[in-house]
Amino acid sequence: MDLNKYKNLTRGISDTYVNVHPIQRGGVLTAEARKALLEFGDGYSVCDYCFESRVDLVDKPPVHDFTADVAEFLNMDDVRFTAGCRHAKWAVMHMICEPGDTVVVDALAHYTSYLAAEANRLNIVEVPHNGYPRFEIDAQGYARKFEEVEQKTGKLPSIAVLTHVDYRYGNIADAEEVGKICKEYGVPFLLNTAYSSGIMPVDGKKLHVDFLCGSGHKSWAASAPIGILATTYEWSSKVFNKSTCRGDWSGRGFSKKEVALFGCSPVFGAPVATLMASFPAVVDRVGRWDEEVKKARYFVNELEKIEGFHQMGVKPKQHTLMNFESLPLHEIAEKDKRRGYFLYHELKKRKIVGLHPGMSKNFKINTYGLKHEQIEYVANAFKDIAREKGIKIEE
Amino acid sequence: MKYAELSMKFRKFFELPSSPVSIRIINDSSEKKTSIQPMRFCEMVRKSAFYGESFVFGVEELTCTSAELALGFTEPSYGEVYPRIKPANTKLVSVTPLEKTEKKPDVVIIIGNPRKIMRVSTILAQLHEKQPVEAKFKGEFAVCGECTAIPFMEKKVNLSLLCNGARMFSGYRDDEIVMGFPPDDFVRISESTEEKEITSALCGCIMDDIPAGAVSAIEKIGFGKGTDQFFGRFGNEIVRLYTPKEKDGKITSLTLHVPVKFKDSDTASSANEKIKGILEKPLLYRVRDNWIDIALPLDLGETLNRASMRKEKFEALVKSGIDTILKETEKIKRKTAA
Repeated sequence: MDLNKYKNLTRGISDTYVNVHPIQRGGVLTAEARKALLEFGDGYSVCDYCFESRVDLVDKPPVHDFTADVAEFLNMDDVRFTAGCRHAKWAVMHMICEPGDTVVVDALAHYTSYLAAEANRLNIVEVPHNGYPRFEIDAQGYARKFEEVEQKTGKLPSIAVLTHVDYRYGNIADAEEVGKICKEYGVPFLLNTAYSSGIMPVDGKKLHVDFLCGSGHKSWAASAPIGILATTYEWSSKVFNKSTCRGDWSGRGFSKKEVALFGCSPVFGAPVATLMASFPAVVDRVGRWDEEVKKARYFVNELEKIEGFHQMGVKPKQHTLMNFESLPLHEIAEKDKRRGYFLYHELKKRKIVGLHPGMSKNFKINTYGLKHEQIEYVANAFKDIAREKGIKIEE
Repeated sequence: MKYAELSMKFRKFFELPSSPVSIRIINDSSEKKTSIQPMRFCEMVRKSAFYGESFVFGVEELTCTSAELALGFTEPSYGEVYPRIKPANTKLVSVTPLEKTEKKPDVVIIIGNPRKIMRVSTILAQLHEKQPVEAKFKGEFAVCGECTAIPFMEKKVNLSLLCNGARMFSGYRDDEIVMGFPPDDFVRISESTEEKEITSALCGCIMDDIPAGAVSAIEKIGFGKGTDQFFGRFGNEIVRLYTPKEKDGKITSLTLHVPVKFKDSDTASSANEKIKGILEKPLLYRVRDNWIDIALPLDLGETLNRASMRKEKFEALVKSGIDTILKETEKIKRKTAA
């Protein structure tokens, strides 16, 4: 065993790089969070003054107040922090569905939505998207699927899951419409806001959401792994149900511990501390979402000046996560000895990171939180690469 | 790559509960016996695989006369015996878990259930240009003959369903079968478990269920497969081919797409008005910001899988679709100065 490789770990990129990684932009720590990371980096560091046996009830640092503030911010009633958005989805399904029930999900859902259902032994029914080039989820598709499931199984699905902003095209789904349909049918509604809450305004009550899950490390400027699970008072006691088991020999019981959160949610040190520390900045930044969208549209416009570059999904962009077709780059890659990796290396040479290594036919990029100058720099880098390779560019 | 690493990779990939076993046939006196307790060869192999034991033994330590012949310790007295190592010059045989050996094996043996051996066979066939794995077995001379002598003498992988002796006296369970490899084959399989093109179907996220035959039929026309759609350059245009799904998940049509770019969304909208009377059905068009998406549906009249098997007809349909969409796109560009 070579232990030296674990020493002096570095990421290989510095602050001078521009990171456009589709899943990392919203998770970049604020300066406050970096300070908190050092302060609370040790394992159970937020548990110094734990008197209530649960991390969400700790008063110093103010995690308890924080849960209430996050609930208010999302316009929901009750909040817990989870080991990622995926844990939140699993927890909801685990607490409100029975094995063999059906869950209806959008066909652009993250794989963890499927796996949460699988782990809970639920049948999955998909609401289709409308295909190339828009890939939009039809909200009315939920009503059709509810009817189909009821006809086939004799009962409605036990939950509907919608991905608010999908990870593939960055389209914003019509959550309000799906929420209304769910209310009409009486199907509980889980909204996955991994790419929305924390970077853009999300109002749970307005969207008729029963469960809202978010990702701290994707969109709330926090260290991984941390997720947010918000719900309404209607569901709170069911989804945050407390343990009732007793040891048959010892008689031990754990009546304060919440079952689906493994008793006390495993977010004890850096995750919850950085989430809290970034929260004031997060509250502030969602108010500037329009500026982010404007910058994203500028970027699309610049990249589409390169021959063969075409942004897939809904246009004009409503979100900062985007997916481009780039066949001319692929044609270059086929002649380059670095193959598909040539784009990754060319960008890295220009101190731009975050594109999936090996991708050249199409690529995803996220401009969230970048300054206008940085976005301009990235767009110019793409144009430079294209120009060098003889790809036409509109002037 | 060292044998320990090869063994680990193989076990991990095929989820084998036991170690591959290295067999060496020793014809000189360069090594010493380590085993004095008489036993069956097949029993030693199983002990080595499951309990990590090693043996170097001579004919005196063998309790099975079939193995004595098959491993080349003794020439048969009456007629020929198959399979066997010949000429019978074997002095000693070494049996050891592969991860513990530093010497090159003559044969590698694995024990697994049919499901695991099936997965090995899939990779083996791919490495041998998709030729099926041929096996010779007759329920006799199993571990010693079918899985040691055949790979040793014929340089071929062989499968054995074992023999009565192995199952009755050597502890092989009903669901276990055995495969013997010449070392080069074993090494190739183990190393290939890292080659993406061989294992990609077994891991990662699958983004669609388009049949492989249909993918290659579409690629043959000049399209490349992207994550979401196919695309290729035809004339001066990049044409996209998409495989829309019916409500029941079937693909019975294709759509060809050419998005046409305009200066801004207002220009695209007014161009959209202009082209209303120009485009011929069944062409579809729709404004998307500063683009007009031109699409041409192609009805296959059957599932994509079946349609793509009718090679010439399929190719003709798609190519005529490409001609149509290119002609219409050209018309739009001319009329709207896109």
